[in-house]
Formats: sequence, structure tokens, C-alpha cells
Amino acid sequence: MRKWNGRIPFYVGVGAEIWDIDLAEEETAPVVDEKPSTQAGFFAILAVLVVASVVLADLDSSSSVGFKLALSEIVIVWTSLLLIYFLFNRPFLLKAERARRVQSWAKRWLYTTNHKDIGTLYIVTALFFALVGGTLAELMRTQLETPNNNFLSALSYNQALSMHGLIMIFWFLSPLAFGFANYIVPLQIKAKDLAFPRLNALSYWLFAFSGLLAVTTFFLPGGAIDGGWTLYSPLTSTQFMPGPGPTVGFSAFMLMVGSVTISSVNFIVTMIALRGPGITFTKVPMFTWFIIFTIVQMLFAFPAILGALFMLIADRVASTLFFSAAGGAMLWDNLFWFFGHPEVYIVLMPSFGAIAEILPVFTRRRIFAKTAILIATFSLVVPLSFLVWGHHMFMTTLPDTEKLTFMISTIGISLPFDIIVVAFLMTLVRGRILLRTPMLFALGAIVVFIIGGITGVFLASIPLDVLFRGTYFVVGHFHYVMVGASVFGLFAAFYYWFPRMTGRMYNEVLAKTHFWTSMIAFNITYFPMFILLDMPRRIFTYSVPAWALPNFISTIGAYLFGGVQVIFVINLAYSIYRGAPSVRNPWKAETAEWEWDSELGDLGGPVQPSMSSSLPLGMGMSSLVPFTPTVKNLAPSEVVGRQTVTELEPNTIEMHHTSTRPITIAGGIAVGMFGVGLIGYDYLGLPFAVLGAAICGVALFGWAWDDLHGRFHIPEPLEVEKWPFTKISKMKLGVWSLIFSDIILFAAILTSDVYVRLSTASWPAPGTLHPIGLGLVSTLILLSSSPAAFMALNSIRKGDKRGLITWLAITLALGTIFDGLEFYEWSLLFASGMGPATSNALSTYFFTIGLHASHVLVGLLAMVYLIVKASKGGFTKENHEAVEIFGIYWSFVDAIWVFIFPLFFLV
Amino acid sequence: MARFTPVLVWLYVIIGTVLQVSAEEYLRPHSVSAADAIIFLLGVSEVTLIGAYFMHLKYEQRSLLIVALLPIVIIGALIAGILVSIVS
Repeated sequence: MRKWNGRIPFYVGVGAEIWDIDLAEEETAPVVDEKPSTQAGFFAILAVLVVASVVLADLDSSSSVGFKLALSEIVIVWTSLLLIYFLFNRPFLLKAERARRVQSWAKRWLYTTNHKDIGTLYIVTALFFALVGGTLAELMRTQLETPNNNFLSALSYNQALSMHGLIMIFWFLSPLAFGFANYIVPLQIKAKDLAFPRLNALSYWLFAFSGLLAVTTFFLPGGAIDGGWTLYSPLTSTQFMPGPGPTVGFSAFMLMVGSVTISSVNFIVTMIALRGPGITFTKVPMFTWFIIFTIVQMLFAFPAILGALFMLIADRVASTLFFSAAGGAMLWDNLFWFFGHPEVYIVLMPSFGAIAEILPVFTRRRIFAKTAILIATFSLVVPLSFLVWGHHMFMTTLPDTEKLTFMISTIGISLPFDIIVVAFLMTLVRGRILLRTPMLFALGAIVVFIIGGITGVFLASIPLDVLFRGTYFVVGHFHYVMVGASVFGLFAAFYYWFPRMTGRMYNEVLAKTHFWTSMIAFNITYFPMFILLDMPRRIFTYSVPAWALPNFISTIGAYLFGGVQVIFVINLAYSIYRGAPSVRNPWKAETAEWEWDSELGDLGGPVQPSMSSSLPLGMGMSSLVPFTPTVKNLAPSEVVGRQTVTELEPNTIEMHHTSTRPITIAGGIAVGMFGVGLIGYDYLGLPFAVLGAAICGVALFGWAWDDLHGRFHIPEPLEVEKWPFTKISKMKLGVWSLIFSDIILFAAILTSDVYVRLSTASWPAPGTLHPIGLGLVSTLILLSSSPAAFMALNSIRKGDKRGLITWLAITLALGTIFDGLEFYEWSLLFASGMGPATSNALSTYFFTIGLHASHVLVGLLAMVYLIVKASKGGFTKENHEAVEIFGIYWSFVDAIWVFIFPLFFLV
Repeated sequence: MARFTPVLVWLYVIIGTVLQVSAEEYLRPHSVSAADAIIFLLGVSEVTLIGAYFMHLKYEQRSLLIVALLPIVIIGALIAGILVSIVS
């Protein structure tokens, strides 16, 4: 086994093309000596830091929150860099000869599709957004520290408040959890990777770009979203939130939802269809179980908000009237909270999964009532989470019976959580408790969750909710659950899996200091909010003397809570490079992610680990991690496109897979959405939108090209556990999962159409707005395309390739005519002066038909791909799954039209 | 699948659509609720057939069919919740 002497500079990672790097050279490479240029860089950074700090200290409420945020970021980031500088005595500036290695390092992280790399990226990026969201929180708390403060203006405060909520929930908590899920779940279930690695990378880059887009809004005209994280209508209308900034913000949110949806499909297929041999559902570890529960909720909850965001952006860009029409506020409330309440559990569940993993390890006994926990969560929490959203609307005009129903279901959902908490506590009884840091954070999370949960039950009761709604009591409750339970649980996960991810141990003293200071500071911050139960939660300043002391204490707590996280960062940075090497299973855990060594490889089987996936984080080589020198340099014939195939021993082929497509597609979408936000405000809007679409189109073409030429191929495992879908392929499971999600999306939109119609005093009679004859013809054409797609499948099943191409071409022609007829009808309406803004009826029509037509367009593009592939002989009697998958999707699009046609043409 | 099944399903869907339009044209003047009910029921039956045959649910493992019902239940809750709130 080779040993590392600990002298590799921190910026030199293990690149995607690590294969040809001579480690012996790396091991003996001298530490880069400091040159004048490096020192100049150091002093330049120091100067920036000083100037930024001085300017920040001198700001008052007239400065924009974006400017303050930027300066705060500069101060924090540069301070961190200087700390690292002093810790490691390493220069920031790279010497020329190191550029190649840095390039290799960058290529790995930009193009990787490996689940561990992506997990790491998720975690690091989520922590960056925690820094952004945390900075906003500190700005808000500073404003509220004293009565009548003018540190922030009302608008700046509202922006900070709204973006803090959105960033912390959607760009920090969920992604952090999914960083761990990405890294750990495939290991726990002994899968080689996620089912669709490129989609996994695409999910990550959509998340990363959407977050950057959201932060960018601070610097755009109109600024960031300022109507609260719940985006209540009509505050989100252009009347109250003008400018492109908010529109770009909503687009960013929509991209994030898209990322989550893709991720959900990927995870659900992986966990159902790619479990390794012997990993039956009874043997699935608790963390993976809780991720399964989370994914199921994500798959069904997020489409509702996706539909709502689509409509909101259409309202702002295309002047549709969904949320500005009568009843629009209630419509938004319903759609938002249908997603919003499950989101609380989506954020909470991974944390509970980690706790359920940690408790048995650190008590040396099995988790108490494991089956009861799983049954309670799956049969009660998951379904009930979709039936409790109305308790957020007790103060609206919901009918009393509906309020009562939601009150009962909300109180009901607390029962399974009682089971979970009692089971956690019973696990401690008679256990040999080892109070290491993961255990401390797990216990802390349980304690604060009990407080947060009990205060939540208050809010389930209509009379109490009337008292507490919109006060700081709710803020306190919410943060005890979201920060206390979720973040502390994820800190526990962080420390627990740190040795697995880095090959090194963290510093226990620093870690315990981090826990105790965090626990104390957390309670100093949030407990006073329970006392402030008469203070409205959405005011930017106050003059009531009685609120001053709790606010002051809370602000001091917030400073402390933010400050002590530096301990975490220092521990993290130090331990990754200088931490003591970890033994392979330091906690003596029994789950599969700890089964890794040179003999068995990462998969617990006779397979050599992929370099990129077995090395810890790629930031340095641990002496613990074995490096197998049998890896050969690659001959050109062994390189297949972007995947590197290295033959280690007979029957052990390992792949390293990377792709440039995911980052390009995500980047293109982000640029396009940025342009969409600018349309109507800036002449650059349309060019940006077109540029984004072009980038995306080229990258998608490249993706298809890679597939056509076999440039990206992940080997299928020979044997997997697939119950209960033993006869269903992973591709088919994937498309069905996507369809389930799409069903909810269309259900949300069609229900909104009906809602708008019922809220509108007069609605055009059938046939007056849309010609029934034209609708009938287009419907018959579309419905005839499904059997054509079916006949294409039938043809290839018989080995008839000509028949396949013919029927696909017929389907393509029918689909094209259908979309053409829809656009023809649009043109007729536009020609007669009618558009989306003309009436509620036309708003719903243009929006829904447009969304459906875009689904048809996706199908048409897929068909072109299939025809090209078929013409190249890409399908055979035995291998034609893509044709079947396409047929399912295409028929789904037809089925949706069966509902749309009567709604707009007949009823 | 029998050789003529997809053709029969296609014919049903086409005829069903024509019947929906007929209900709108000829039945609605006499009874709005009857026309709406027929249009709705025909639509549901068409979607069921498309799902069963063209989306192959009829030939898939039973477990997939059961899971496919899950979003329908959730949709039921969503539709009920939203539309009931309009009563107010």
C-alpha cells in the first residue's frame, strides 16, 4: 500500500484523468514555495477585505440589501481564504506548471457523473448557499436588534426575509440532505451508481445554476423577491413586485423544482430497481428508507408548485390572469401549501434517517421498533402530509368544514412522529451510549424537535392558530423544526459519515465545541421568539418596548450561532487535509457503506473501485485509501468517448464516467430563464432567452449524439433486487415515475383552470371562442397517433425495421399536424386581437394548450431521435426499449388531451 | 395482445370523441348536466383504454398498476381541497 506524506497542496485534486498521474512524483513534489506574486495576491486580498469591511460598517438603510449581501460575502469568503492561508501556509496563486493538474481537477468536478462526486458537490454548494442565507438572516436580526432601527430599509428587509427563507429551504436544507443521499444511498444498497448518472449531474447543475440565478436577482432592477418565502398572491404580481428581478427569482425557483423532479425519478428508480444482491427491502438501512419516503413525497408534492410557478411566471411575462383574477390568492395558497407542507417533511426525513442510523451505532443496540417506525412513516406521514396543507389557511375564507377536516388530519399526523420519537428514545434505554459528536448532534436534534413538534401541535388547533398565526411564535416553532431538527440531524450525518467520505477523522474536541456552542446559541436565538408571541412576524421594525429585550437576545444568539459555525468550517477544512487517518469502519457500523477495502472494492464484491469514486473527495490522497498500481495507462482503443475503460483483471472492468452535457444543458436553461425574466423590461431579454435555448439545444443534440454513438454507457449490474417490480426495466420505471409527476402537474393546472372558471362571473359558451370543428379534427389526429406509435413498437417486436421507421414517421407527421393546428388556432385568435391577457378564459386556454403543445414538441424531438437511431440500425427485435418508452410517453400526452379538449371546446 | 385490439381501442376513442362533440351539440340544449356527465364519462373511459392498452398498463406487472393509482388518490385530495375552497 502506498502512503501519502501529506504534502500534496490542497488545490491539487484527483482529476478525471488521474490515471496517467505518477503518484510517486506527486508524493515527492516539493511544497510550492511562495513567490512575490503570491505575497502580492495575499496583500491584495487583505486590502479587499479591509475596504469591504469598512464600507459594510458604514452602510445605512439607504443601501440596497444586494450590495450589503455582496460585501458581506466578500468579507466572509476572503476571511475564510485567509484562514486557510494561515492554516496551511499555501499560496492561492498557481504556478504555471500546476495548471494542467488544476485543469484536470476542474474537469473532474465540472463533468463528473459519479454519485460520490455529485454528492460532494451538493454538500459543498449547499454550504455555500447556507452562507448566503445565513448572511441574510444576520442582516435581518441586526435590523431587529433594537426598536426603530434603520440598518435596513423596509424593502431591503423584505428582500432579505424572503430570500433567506427560500435559499435556506430550497438551496441549503434539501440539497444538503441530497448530497448525503447521493453519496451514501448507492453504497448502502450496493448499487454501482444512481440509475441515470447524467441526469444526476443535470439535477445538480440545475440546482447550482438556479441558486446562482436566485442570488443574482439582488442585483437586477426590481431586486430580489420581497413578498415572503410563501410568495403569496397578489404580492407577487407586477403591481406589487415590479421589475425583472422577481421574475428571474421565480424562474430560479422553477429550475430548482425541475432539478428536484429529475432527482426524484433517479432516486426512486435506483432504490427500487438497482439494489444489490441480497439487499431486499427488509435489509434496506434506515437512512435509505427515509430517503425513499422523502422521494415519494417530493415526486408528488413538487409538481403542484411547479404548476403554480409556471402560472405565476406566465402572469408576469405573458400577462395571463391566474393569480390576479378573483380568487387568485386562494388558488395560490392551495397550490403552494399542497407542496409547502410536505416540504417540511421532505426537509425533515433525511435528518431522521441519519438519526435512525446513528442511534443504534452509538448505543450498541438495534433501533427500537424499526418496523413500527417504517410503517408509521410510510402509511401515515407520507399520505397524511398531502392532506394537512389547509392548516396553513385557517385564517383565510376556507369553509369551516374544510378547516375542521384539516385540523383533524394535522393533529393526526403528529401521532406517527410520536411513535418515531418514542422509538428513538427507547433505543437509548439500556443502550451503551457513546457520546461522540454524531450522537450529540442526534440527541440535540431529537430534543429540539420535541420542542418544535409540541409547539406545532398548538398551531394545528384552529382557536390557537387564530392567536398565534403570523407571530414570532410561528417563527420560533418553524426554526426549532427546520434548523434544530433538520440541520442538527444533518450535522450529525456530517460527522458520522465524514470518515467514510474523506478517509480521515475530524477533530473531536472542535466538533464537540461546535455542538455545545451551536446548541446554546440556537436556543438563545430562537427561544425568545416563543416569548414574542404577540409580535407580528413580517414587520421590518417595531417600537414596542416590551419586544426590545427578546429581540436583542435573539440577535446576539444569531451572531453567536452564525459565528460558531466557523468552528465547523475550520474543523472541516483542517481535518480533510490534516486529520488523523481513519480506520475503515471507525464506528463499527453494520451498514454496507462502510464495507470498503482493497480486496472487496466499494461494492462489497470482487470489483475494483473506480478511482474517482473510491478516493475521498479528491482533495488529497489518504494513506488509508489503497491505490492499486495495476491500473494501466490507456490505449486509444480502450477509450470510448468520454468514458475511460480500464482493464484491471479478467472480468473486472471499471468505468469512470464523465459528460459535458449536463452542465451545458443546465447552463443553457439558466441563461434562457434569465432572459425570460428580462423580457418586457430589457431589450436583452429575448437574445438571452434565444441564446439559452440554443445552448440547451446544442447540448441536447450532443447528448443524443453520445447515445447514438455509444459514447456514454454505464454497465448494467448483472444481478439486482427489484421486488416489487421484478419484470419492469429501470427505463420504464423512470418514465412512469416522471409520468406520475406530470399527472400531478397537469392535475394542478387543469384544476386551476376549473377554479378560475368557477371564480369568473361569465364564461364564453362552447363554440363561441374556439371552433369545435377545428378542435375535433386536431383531437382525432392526435388520438390516431397513439396507435401509430403502438404499431411502431409492434413492428420492431417482429424485427421489421422498415415498419418501425414508417410508423414512427406517421406518428411524427400526425403530431406535427396537431401542434400545427394548435398554433394555427392561436394565430387566428391573435389576428382577431385576442391574447392571454384578454380574459380569464383566454388566459387558461393559451397557458394550458401551450403547456400541452410543449409536451407534444418534446415527443416530436424524441421521435426524430428514434427515427435517426432506427435508420442506423439501432433497434432490433430484442433491443427496442426506447421505442416502448416513447410510446408510453406519447400515449400519456394523448390521454392528457382527452381532458383538455372537452374542458376548452365542449363544456 | 390480440391482433385487432389496438384498432378496436382506437376506434372506441375516435367514436367516443365524436360522441362527446355530439353530446355538446345535441344534448346540451336539453340537459346541461346530462351532456357534461356523458362527456366526462366518455373521457374517463377513453383515458382508461389508452392507459391500459397504448401505455401497456394492462400487460405490466400488477404492482405498477397499484402504484399508478397513487397519484390519482393524491389528485383527488388536491382537486377536492382546491375546489371546495371556492365554495367560500
